[in-house]
Amino acid sequence: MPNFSLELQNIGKRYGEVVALADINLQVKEGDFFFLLGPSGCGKTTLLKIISGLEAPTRGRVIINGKNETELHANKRNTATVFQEWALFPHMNVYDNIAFGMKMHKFPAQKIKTKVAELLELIHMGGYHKRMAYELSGGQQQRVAIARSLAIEPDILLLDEPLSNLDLSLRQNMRIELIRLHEQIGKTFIYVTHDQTEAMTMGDNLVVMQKGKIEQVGSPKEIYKNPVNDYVATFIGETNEIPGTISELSPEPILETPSGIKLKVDIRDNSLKKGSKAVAIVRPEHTKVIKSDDAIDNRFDVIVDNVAYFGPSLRLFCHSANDNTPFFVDVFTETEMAITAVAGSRIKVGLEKQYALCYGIN
Amino acid sequence: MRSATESIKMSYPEGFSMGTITSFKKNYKYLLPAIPMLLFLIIFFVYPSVIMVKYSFNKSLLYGEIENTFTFENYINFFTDPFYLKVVWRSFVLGFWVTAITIPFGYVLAYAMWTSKGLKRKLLYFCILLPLFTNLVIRLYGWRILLSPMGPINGILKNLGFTDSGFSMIYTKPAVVIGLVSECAPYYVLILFSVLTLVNPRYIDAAYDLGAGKIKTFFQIIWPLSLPGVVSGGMLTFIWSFGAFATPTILGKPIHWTPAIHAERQILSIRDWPFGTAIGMSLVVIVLVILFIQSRLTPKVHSQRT
Amino acid sequence: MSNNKPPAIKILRHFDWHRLTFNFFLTVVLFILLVPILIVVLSSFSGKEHLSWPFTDLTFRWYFEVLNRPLWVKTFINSLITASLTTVISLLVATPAAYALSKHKGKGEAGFISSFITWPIMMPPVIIGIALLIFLSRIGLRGSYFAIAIGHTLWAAPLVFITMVAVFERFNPIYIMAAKDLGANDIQAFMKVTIPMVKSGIISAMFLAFVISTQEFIIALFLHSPSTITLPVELYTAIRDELSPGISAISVYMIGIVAAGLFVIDRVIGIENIGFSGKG
Repeated sequence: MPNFSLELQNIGKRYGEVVALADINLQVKEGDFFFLLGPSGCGKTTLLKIISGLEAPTRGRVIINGKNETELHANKRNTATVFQEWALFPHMNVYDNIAFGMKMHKFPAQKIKTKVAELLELIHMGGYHKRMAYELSGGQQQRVAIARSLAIEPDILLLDEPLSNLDLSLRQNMRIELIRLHEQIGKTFIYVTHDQTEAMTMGDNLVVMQKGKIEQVGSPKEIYKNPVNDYVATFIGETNEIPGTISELSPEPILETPSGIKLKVDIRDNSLKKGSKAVAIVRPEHTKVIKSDDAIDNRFDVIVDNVAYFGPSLRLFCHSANDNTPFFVDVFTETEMAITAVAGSRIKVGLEKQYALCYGIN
Repeated sequence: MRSATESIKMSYPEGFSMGTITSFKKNYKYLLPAIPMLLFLIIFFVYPSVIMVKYSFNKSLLYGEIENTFTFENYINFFTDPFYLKVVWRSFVLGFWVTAITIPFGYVLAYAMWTSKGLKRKLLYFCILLPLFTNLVIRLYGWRILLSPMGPINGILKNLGFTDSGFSMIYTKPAVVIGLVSECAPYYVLILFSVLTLVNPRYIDAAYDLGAGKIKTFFQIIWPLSLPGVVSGGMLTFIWSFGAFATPTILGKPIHWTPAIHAERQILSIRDWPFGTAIGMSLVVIVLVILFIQSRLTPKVHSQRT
Repeated sequence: MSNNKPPAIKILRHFDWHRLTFNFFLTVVLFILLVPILIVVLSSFSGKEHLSWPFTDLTFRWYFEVLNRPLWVKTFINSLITASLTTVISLLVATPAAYALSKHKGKGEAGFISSFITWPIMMPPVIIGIALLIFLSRIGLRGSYFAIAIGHTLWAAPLVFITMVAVFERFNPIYIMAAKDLGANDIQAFMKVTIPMVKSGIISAMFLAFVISTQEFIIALFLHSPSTITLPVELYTAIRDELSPGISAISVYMIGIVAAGLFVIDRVIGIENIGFSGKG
């Protein structure tokens, strides 16, 4: 049996009549870089506060390292949070900020000193201990906030959208920095974000949340390849959505669009029957611009509206030739196709059926 | 799949019913730090007020002795004596004049503060707060110097040849009224200003944009929105003038005395505590009635900023 | 605008009557507010023993002369003692209350308690004076510095409370969360994080309480004894008998305390943040 550093059992949270979290069950392996991913208002930050002990769940249990700590307050739990606003104490310098938690935990003075020096080295900020919080740049404040949390040697480090206040290039550097820190320290990190790129590129495992519920748990690859429903599929990565009706289930499932195109699809939702409304989810990289004689499961005509240049690739924003369903395709810049595709031109796109993931619509 | 609300409504795991009781306790635990303040008010404000009420129903004997009985005599004496009824009536009239003057003049100052920015606003703030915090006695002393027969106003009037002997301005009703206006105006202005700051200035722009003139904009947009401030500030002015103590004693004659002064006389000079407290309580009751009427009349303050 | 009107009418049209009326009202109200104070300041420089217009033989001598009047020095010291007591008591009782209630403004009982705390400001001071006089006479405290300070605290503490509620509301609770998350308990978080971060607000509240107490005289009139008489109470009796530059000089010292207090508050939290009226 693997060691879980965190287990959540039937966690529920209500504010008056409002349900923030409903029946959350989750296990996080020791040493995992684990992501809670979802749009704002999905309850991910509330869940993080429940893990840290800053909020109490209405029901359910929080088990940290095998011990039930549901009743413990934040100051008694061995978790530490890096807040979105970093919350460095403005009246203290860097040293006192990092030392604060250790003083509260009554670490010996000598240990505090060496530990702060160690942490400042770890975040590449040796020599900054006298600076006040407001004298630091955003990225530096961010790193001090992480060091302050790591100082109390938490079993789990909780990060609440820590990079959302940084500009793009700094954010990318900090992502790499965080991956490095995680590898060096080897503790469990739980990271809340609404940015699926962060979750996909940094996480070992992630959960996708919506409206206080968990939609799917898994590694980024699993979730990307096998999303359990259209919500997860559209939230992770970019997708085209083709709505229609199931006109055939066997031998080969077929989705018929309102304009009459018949798509061979891969049914991902067992509840789908003949005649059900459904949607096919297609990732741009899985569609190909084809010549008419290529062998492929599905093919249909689209008209190019707009061409966007992304460096190595072009994105063609199109609409279906039969109706106005929007559709976009990525093609490599250095291909024949890329040169001929201009706004207004009519092109043929092809799609293998295993890439047309079909889900029911409620 | 159950919906979220359904799964919450299912039976809770063991121990939840106890949880509701602890959460009830937790709801009030946050009030603990307020206890010293509340105790202080109960010991030094509520309890003394209760004793005061009790005294007002006692009977006074000669030489400041007090008989511990329950009688309405003091109140009956106060409310049936034509002398005291006249005192109450005159104080009402006084309050009316002070309020009628303070409302328009104070409005102009509050409006000037609202529309100013930066240093000018700070300066106007200072012009209100300096008199507000400066000892009332000192300000009344200033008025005494100004209004006295030998004072600057008479001096200037004499120089200009309006009068030879000087006007006697002090110890008159206008002197009391103007003294009270200068006492109450800072509070009125601050209350009105705080309501004005809730009015979204974009409304004015919108009104101009729609072609309304300055005067129209003011009376159709700003005045109605600031009315709650005018009413509560005006009420405060009225109540304070009605219950005024220092200004009528220093700038007026005994004929201008308010119930508050008579209460103080009874207590500190005549030493008839039951009657003095009864006058005081009557004052409080009248004030409370006015406040109650105001709370019924005043439109609620809404913030128009979002 | 049509150009064929005679110039005189044009000027009249462009002449802003609204602005003129407005500025006239503004001048009158500022006059009513400030002139009493200005005249006191001016008269303190008058060289004559008794005040009469015009003030001539201008001199600074009263400012030094009054320092040699033992009665006034004594009342001044009494005022400082009561003001210090008032400041300490007000801050100790009102700050924790403001802290507790600032975070629960929406709740019913919190709203009620907040308005209860501000009730004493609504009461005419004469009533507070009478009520406290009766109560403190009973327990034998009447006439002490402590008695006057209690009376002043009934005025100052609600204002400190309103100011501190505004200060705590602006304080981001994330810092307390961070402190607790790092292992601090409620008291440690309050002492090591909240208090240092709202220090400037507390300093302003201190000045507020101090200034209010040095200027109040009605409650003090009821509660003082000959040995604890405060300066404003002594002024209240003195100004009815005499108008003299000496009294003016003493008054200017008092005005100076207020102006200095306002200056400090402005430096620390900004003059517009003093908790008054419905704003808090």
